[in-house]
Amino acid sequence: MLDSIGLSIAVRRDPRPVEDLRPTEAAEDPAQRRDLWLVEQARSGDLDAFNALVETHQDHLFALVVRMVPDRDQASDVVQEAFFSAYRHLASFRGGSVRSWLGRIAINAAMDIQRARRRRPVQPYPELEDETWQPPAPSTAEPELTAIAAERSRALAGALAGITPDQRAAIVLFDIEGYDYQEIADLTGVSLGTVKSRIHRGRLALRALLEGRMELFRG
Amino acid sequence: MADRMTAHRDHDTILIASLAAGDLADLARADAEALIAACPDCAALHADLLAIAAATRELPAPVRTRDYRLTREQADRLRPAGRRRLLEAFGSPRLAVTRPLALAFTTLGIAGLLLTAVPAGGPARMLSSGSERDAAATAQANDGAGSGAEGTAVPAHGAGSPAPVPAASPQPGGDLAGEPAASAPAIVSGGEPKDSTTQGSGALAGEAGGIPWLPILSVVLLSTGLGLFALRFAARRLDPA
Repeated sequence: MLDSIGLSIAVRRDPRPVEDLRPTEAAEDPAQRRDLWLVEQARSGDLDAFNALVETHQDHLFALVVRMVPDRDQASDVVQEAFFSAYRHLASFRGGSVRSWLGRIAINAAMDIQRARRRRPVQPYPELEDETWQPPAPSTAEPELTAIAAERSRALAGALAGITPDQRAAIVLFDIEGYDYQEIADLTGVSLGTVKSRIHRGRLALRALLEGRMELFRG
Repeated sequence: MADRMTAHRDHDTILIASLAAGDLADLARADAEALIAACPDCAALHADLLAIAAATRELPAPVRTRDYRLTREQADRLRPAGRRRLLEAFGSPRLAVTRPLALAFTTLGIAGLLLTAVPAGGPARMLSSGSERDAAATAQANDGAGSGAEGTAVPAHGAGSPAPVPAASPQPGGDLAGEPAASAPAIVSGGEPKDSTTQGSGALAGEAGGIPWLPILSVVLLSTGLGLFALRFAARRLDPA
């Protein structure tokens, strides 16, 4: 899997040397201070420091990438490649939020693999038929509500996989990751208007795909 | 009911989606809100889009099934040290210029060597000698009619040309500068014949006894090009990722 063409693209693409412009307040946040210290250690060759960063951020990166690349195996490889790329290009980190920097690398890798996949269309995301990947519901919730929530998540995940990769990426970055329009435009290399259009049309497409199951979402 | 559906189809759903995303300015917002107030289907669409956006934000995080920490071997491969690091730089995509550069050097080197291998003057001389031959033949034909069989003819260099060129039998050779054949003595403006035996290859290999720059330069270029290719190949072999 690691030798796939798409991944080779992901590997060969350097992370964009764009400083994270979001307010980080690194000095105030102990977690970010720790991240920055770990980056410094890793730059000087401390592999354990880098692995501490991996431990901190791998859940977030996996959750982000698996929503953009619903094929779990491929998403997993993209995350691995993102960490490889981050390790290789530690010197290009220019401060700011380590979490955002890693997120950008992972997003670039995910988008590269989506583009490669678009060039070689295969059966789209068969793994979505596998229901076992949905996270377990909290045990404290009422069983009926838990079942509805799980069903809603499953339906939404399936619908997300059914819209175009561009729309999906925009919606994931906006709704789940909390990036604003301009940041998404910078990340995806399109105009602000295109980002808005992708989000609006993507949501309309989701609604069309969820036609008949909208009662799961209404109250 | 059918009329209502038909009317809804004509409504601007993107406007409703923009309202749900909170992207509309005052005027457009007022239009969208009026549409929602007037059309129950548009209102339902707006509510659904809000619900979908909320549900998307609440999607549970998928559970990771793999540990992405790097092993020492992976780390060494990703950030090689010493010679490997230097070598890897040649295979790096950031040094994408390596390949075209290697190709250009190799091509120039081969071209230079081929040019050197061609006998002095080479094709250029052959080409120019052909035109000289034609000119000489024409002049011979013109003069032959008036002066009979004199054995020599003055090529037509224009009326009153001060530089008559002996036109014995047409000679092979001649270079880009239109020099006379190598075996024929050239007559310079002072009228002194000058042996131009070494002038044919002078442009390529320097003056007689000088340093043959073109072959040396060609070999250097070819070696550099092939060396770059070899480095690139070795770098790729070292780092298959």
